[in-house]
Amino acid sequence: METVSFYSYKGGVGRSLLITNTARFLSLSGRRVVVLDLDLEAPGLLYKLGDAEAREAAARGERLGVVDYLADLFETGAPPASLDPYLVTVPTPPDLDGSIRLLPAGAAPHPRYWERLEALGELRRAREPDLDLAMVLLDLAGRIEEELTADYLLIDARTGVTELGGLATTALADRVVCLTLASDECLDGTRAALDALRGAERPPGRGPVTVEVLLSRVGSMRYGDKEQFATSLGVRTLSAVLHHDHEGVEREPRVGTTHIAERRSGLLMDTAEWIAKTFGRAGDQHGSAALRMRAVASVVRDLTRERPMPTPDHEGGAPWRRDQMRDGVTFTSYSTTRFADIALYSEADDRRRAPTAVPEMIVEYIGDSPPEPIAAVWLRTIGVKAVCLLVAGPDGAVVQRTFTWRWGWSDVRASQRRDLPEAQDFGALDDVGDASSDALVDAIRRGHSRYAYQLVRNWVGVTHATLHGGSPWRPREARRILDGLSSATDGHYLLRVAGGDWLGDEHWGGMSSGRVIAEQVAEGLLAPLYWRTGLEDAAAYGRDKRRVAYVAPVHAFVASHLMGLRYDPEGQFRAEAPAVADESSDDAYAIYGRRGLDGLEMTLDLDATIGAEALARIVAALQLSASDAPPTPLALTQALRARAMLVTVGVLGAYDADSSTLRFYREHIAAAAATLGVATRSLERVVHLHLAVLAYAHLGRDADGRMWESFALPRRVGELIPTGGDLTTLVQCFVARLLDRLGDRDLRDAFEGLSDAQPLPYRAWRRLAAVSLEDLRAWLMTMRRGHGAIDAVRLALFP
Amino acid sequence: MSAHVDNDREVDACNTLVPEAIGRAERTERESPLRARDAWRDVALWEQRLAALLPADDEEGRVARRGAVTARIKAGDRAGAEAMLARYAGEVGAHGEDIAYMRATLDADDARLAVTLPYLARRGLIGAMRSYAARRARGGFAFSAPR
Repeated sequence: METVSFYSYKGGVGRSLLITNTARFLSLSGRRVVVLDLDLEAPGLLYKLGDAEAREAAARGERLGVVDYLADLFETGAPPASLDPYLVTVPTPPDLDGSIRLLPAGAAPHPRYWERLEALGELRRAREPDLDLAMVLLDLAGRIEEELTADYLLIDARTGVTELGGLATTALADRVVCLTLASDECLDGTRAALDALRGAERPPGRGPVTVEVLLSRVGSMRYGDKEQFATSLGVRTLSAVLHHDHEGVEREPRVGTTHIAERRSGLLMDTAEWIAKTFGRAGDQHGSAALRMRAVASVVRDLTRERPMPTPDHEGGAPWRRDQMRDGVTFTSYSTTRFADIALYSEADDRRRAPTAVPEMIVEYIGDSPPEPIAAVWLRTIGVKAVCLLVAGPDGAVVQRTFTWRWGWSDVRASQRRDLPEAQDFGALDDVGDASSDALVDAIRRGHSRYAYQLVRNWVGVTHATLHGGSPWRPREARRILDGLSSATDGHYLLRVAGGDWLGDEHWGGMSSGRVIAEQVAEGLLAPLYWRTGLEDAAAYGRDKRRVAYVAPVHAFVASHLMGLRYDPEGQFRAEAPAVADESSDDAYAIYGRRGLDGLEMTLDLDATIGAEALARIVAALQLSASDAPPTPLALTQALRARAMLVTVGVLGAYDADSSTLRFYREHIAAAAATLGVATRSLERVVHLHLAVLAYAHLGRDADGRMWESFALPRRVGELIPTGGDLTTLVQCFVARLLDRLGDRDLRDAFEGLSDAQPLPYRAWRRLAAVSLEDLRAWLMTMRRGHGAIDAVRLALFP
Repeated sequence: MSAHVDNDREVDACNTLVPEAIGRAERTERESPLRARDAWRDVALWEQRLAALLPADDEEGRVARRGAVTARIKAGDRAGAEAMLARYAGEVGAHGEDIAYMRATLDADDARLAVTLPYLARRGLIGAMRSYAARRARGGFAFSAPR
């Protein structure tokens, strides 16, 4: 038996983790391992290695351990008859020869444990004062070797300089694994401990102790640092450098399967490397064990890796937390027993979780066994919802295969997603192996907005076809994604995901191809989403000054791409160049960007109410009795509809050119929606579209170098309805074309329903349906130049 | 007064003090094994003093030598007991019977410990480990080597 003590001068260096992984590696290599927790003042191995039952017993104060063993020995003067009551059997794969038995400290942190520990010294002095602790522990080690036929005894030694730490390292150990951080206090303390260790006398019959020094929690090292640290510790070389977990590497993903990168990275991977190097023996199963450990470590790293968060203030993709994971758990159902390298639970707290709780997902390394039958056992017999199997290929690579199964399916199915399911997926997706756009859209519609980010990615994937054969072009899927996102309740969040995270240069690192994609997202996804989502969400997005630059594309979608109003920021920049000539390029860009948006920043006033004077005019036009009380919005809209006078501008909203404000009379819109039998949300957007197009038509600064003669609306004829409603008709024509582009059935229905209740200028767009978009743009230009109405429009109005 | 007379008086004094010390040690042992170790150390000192005053072939001297080794063991000073044994075994006139008794006492102590530490006993390491433990105990700093 080889005894290995794990020591560190200070805590928090990953000592327990290293012991746990070493034990697992050795057991996977077919070795019988006993782990002894001698960190009696701060024991923790029961949490790392013990199963739920053992931890429950500890929580009740009933778990026995080495403190109880020693107390019983001092009490009776003889060792307990059996070691079994003090041991915890740690689950290991049943098909392998190896085993792990843990002799924990005891029932820590239950008060009973601390009482027992405190009484231990007194008991020893009272009953066996001349019984040396070194002898007792050496006898215990001998017993472990004989009775448990252990190949390895791994000891968690106390930190600092203590009697137990000294015994574990100088008396019991054949090999001391000493972990240290790179801080001065750790290095100085470790050097002192190593000096003492080297000078310590060994027990009779024991050869010199082997010392391994590991530098832990290392962020990054420069060339030569390793040698320098070794020299400062007085050792020839450091046995290993264990990096911090955040130093991960990218995986190489493939749909359905994932090749696990073999490159060194992170604490777990470094640990696996060191263990394999230190404890590997030619001819045993250590190669397979090392492969298994690396593969499992790689999966753990993926599961716990920070996800891209769309916005910091909103729920986004989240990694599995370590407290949701259990390492090495055996599950039995009927006559079937399987060992999971990792079990993942939705419940975080072990104490709230029944010992027999079935995890959401498990990870198991299965060597070269066929994965489907094993997946079927996990999914159909044991009842987990997803299983990730690590399959060893003939080339030494490990392939990750994920399966799911649901009632009604004849067999298990391979996951179609390229990543592993996250914890939240189990509550949001019907099948966590299906992260297709349709599945995510379904989740979005049920309120799980966190999938927006993935959906935008998917949208880019199916719309971004490249000449050299990139992602496939799937316009129908793109349409379903847009429809799905548009139907979500959390529109403002979705807009921010689609806008903020994709359009910023930081997302693409300044790549020109990235900008192409960004423009594509802006025009194809963000803008339609903006014009289709709820009015309040759109207003909130417009108000979000942090992302003001991301509002420009939604205006360009209508003003530029539809109405042909060329926004020419470069021309404006040239014109304003003298003003910014003295600024640095960054500042100049900021000024240019800000000024370029001046004309496009429209305020949406959602709380506007119709003025008393305007209301009086409408009442007069409707020839309602002046003595009557002001009509309710519903009565008013019903009366206007009956007379085909339900105009948008003046009754449902208004555009104030001076303040660039679109005003919404939402009470009237709601009443009109009820009157027309359409959704209020849709009607609000129709009103928004009309007012916005009207507003864009007035923006002249950047369009053609000329302006309207006046920013006022064309002169009205009559009190309420402009009989020369050329502009109104033109605006309606553009809105109709815009609705064609948006492809939103509800908006279209609302637009047509409203139009039917409106006067002729609002309805005339139907007669101009065959006019080309270019002609509409030309008419707009003509009107902007002050040439008055267009004959064709007049013809449409007065045939 | 001659040295011979002084010697006799000291022997008499020791003969008086030893039974008292033994009685005190035995009483203390029932109350506190830890304090009893100190009491047995006193006994060992008086017995050693007596042994030093009397030759190895003297009847009282033989009893004192046996008592010194036994008291050392009871005081938890295994190394001291072994040192006593080695010294007395080398004395002129040492009785083989006494040496055998002392060895048997040490063995009996090992046997008692073998019940507590059966796995070390099975490997024949009790004695060596006791010596090692004693050296460790003198080492002070937990990590440092006994000098």
